[in-house]
Amino acid sequence: MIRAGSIALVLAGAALLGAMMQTAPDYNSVVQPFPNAVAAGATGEARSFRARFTGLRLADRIAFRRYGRDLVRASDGVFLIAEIEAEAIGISQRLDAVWQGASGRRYALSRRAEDIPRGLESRWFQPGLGNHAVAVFELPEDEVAGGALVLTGSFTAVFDSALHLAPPALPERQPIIRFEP
Amino acid sequence: MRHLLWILLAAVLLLANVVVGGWTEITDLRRAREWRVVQAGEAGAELRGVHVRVDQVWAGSAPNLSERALVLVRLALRGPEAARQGWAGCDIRLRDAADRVWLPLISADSEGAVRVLSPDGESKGRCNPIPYDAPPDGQEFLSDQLFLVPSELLKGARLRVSAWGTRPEALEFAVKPVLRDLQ
Repeated sequence: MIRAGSIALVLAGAALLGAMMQTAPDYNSVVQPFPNAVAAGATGEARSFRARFTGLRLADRIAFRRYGRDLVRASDGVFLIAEIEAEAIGISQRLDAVWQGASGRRYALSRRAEDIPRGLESRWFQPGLGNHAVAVFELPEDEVAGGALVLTGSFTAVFDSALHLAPPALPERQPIIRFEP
Repeated sequence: MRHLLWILLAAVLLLANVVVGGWTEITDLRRAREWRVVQAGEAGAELRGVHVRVDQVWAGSAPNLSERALVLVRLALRGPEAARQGWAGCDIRLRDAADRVWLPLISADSEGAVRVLSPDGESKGRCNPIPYDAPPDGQEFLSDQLFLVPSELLKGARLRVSAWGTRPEALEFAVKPVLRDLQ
């Protein structure tokens, strides 16, 4: 009787440990910032920055000048140009952006649009000063409607919020958008 | 008695684990935080064998963007090379009374902005306490840091300077910029 009880205790312990192992969040999800949904046109506030989605444009091609050369990039999908206004709260910082499409897939900033004027990847945001920036993504057209712009702090997003900014009304797709310095 | 020994051994090992892990964490935290901040005057102050002085501070605003200002801080360091090694990765930040922090600008344009703001049209480069062309020990050498701040900060900013080898100690200076017309 005592032996059966001991075996039951060990089995219960093993089952409990197994359940804990199965449900324990992995390291990657533990250090993710907290998602914070922000309505279109509203200003979202994270612990270290606040930001607003000010404009959205769609284009077949983008044109800009880099290192003294005029560049034109074309896409089989669409270029999504997100315009934001942001401000750091406690300390100067940079922001990272991804576009979360309607399917849930996440699109990083397009490296084909690196060094565009006012590009987000080169922008610093300062406490007390609003600053405008542009984030360019290249993605399938059906990922635009129902998607959101996700902004996080570049350095320490842990224990901070990821702002999921709903886009303003979808615009008409333009043949080409030119970025002026 | 045998069980008690095992329990004691487990307790000792647990304690040792906490001490070793905690010591590492505390050491890392001390290297990252500025807990002992010494207020320095215009003559500067010495920290870990290196004398630090704010040589000049200039500030300017564009007429159409008067709510924001560029601040250029020219810092002078002096000390023997062995002491300057501890100042590697020197960290220079502007602060306000509410403890908001502005970091130096690092961009392709900041070098040009430094040359515009400094009356001599020169840029001394970012703070590097062990440059390849360091002057002989006992002579000061200069560095330039550029900040973009709200104009209201010009009334009462403070400059805090520390480095990997000085923290948790840091020096703090009152900043009194000379205003320059950027038209």
